[in-house]
Amino acid sequence: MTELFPFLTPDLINLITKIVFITLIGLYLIFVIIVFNNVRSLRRIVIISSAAGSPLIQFLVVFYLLITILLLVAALVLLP
Amino acid sequence: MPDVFTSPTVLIQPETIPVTDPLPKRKHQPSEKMTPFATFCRFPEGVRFQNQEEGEDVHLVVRRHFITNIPWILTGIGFSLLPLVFFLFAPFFDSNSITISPIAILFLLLFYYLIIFGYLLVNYTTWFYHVGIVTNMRVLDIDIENISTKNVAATNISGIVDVEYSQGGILSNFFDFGNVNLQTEGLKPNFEFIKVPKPARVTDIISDLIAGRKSND
Repeated sequence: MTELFPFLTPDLINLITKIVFITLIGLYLIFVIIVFNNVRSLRRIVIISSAAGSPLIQFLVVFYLLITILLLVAALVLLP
Repeated sequence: MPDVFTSPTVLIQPETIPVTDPLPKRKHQPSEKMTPFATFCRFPEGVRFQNQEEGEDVHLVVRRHFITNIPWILTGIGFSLLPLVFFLFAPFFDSNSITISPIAILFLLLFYYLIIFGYLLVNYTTWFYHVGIVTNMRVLDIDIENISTKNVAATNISGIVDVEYSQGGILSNFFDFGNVNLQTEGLKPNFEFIKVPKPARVTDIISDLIAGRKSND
């Protein structure tokens, strides 16, 4: 690839990868926040007991949000 | 002048006056425990909803039949196996053309699986909260088209004029699911419980409640 595009040094490729990845995950984080808010509003409309799995969904959505934030922070720090 | 006829004095106890609204509470009906994958639950335990009135009992909760979830479950499984296939065939490609660092590949892989997890979670949540609730006073239809579009509609039992169900196709007959259509009076929108299990039983329960309400009125 470097033969076709000589200006594409490994450092530049890494930088482009990092910018693209952080932009994608940043946009995805907005989607996850929308999901989080909607699940909270759904839980207010229908209250289903713990045995039926409603708190499990809440836990999974919180986990989903935390993992997304963690991945964004880790990408900012760890990606070269 | 002597009395020819004296009417006996009848004392009306307040308890004997029939209550017309709401319907009498159910008597000793066993409650069912609702599990995370329940699709048809008669007198479910621990199910309440917004604006539930005092004395309002939940008689029935229905969701789409679980078999309707198979397409998104298979899609999720298929996409989660895709990177394995890619890495299996990776040695056959020219490795010099890929210059992305291994840590970037790891992050991309984690992001990919996060998207799949999100896809499964959103589909499950949509299915979980897309419910039809029948109480002794009204019928609620909570439609979740996708995670950001929801439509909550309710009608009184007395406002329902007709209940019917339809089943079409091999799958719906084999697994016994179908659409239950509730026709309301006037210009009010009709209600539909889509792909719910035991549609004949659902129709029967709602018809009984309507008959009970009419005889009560």
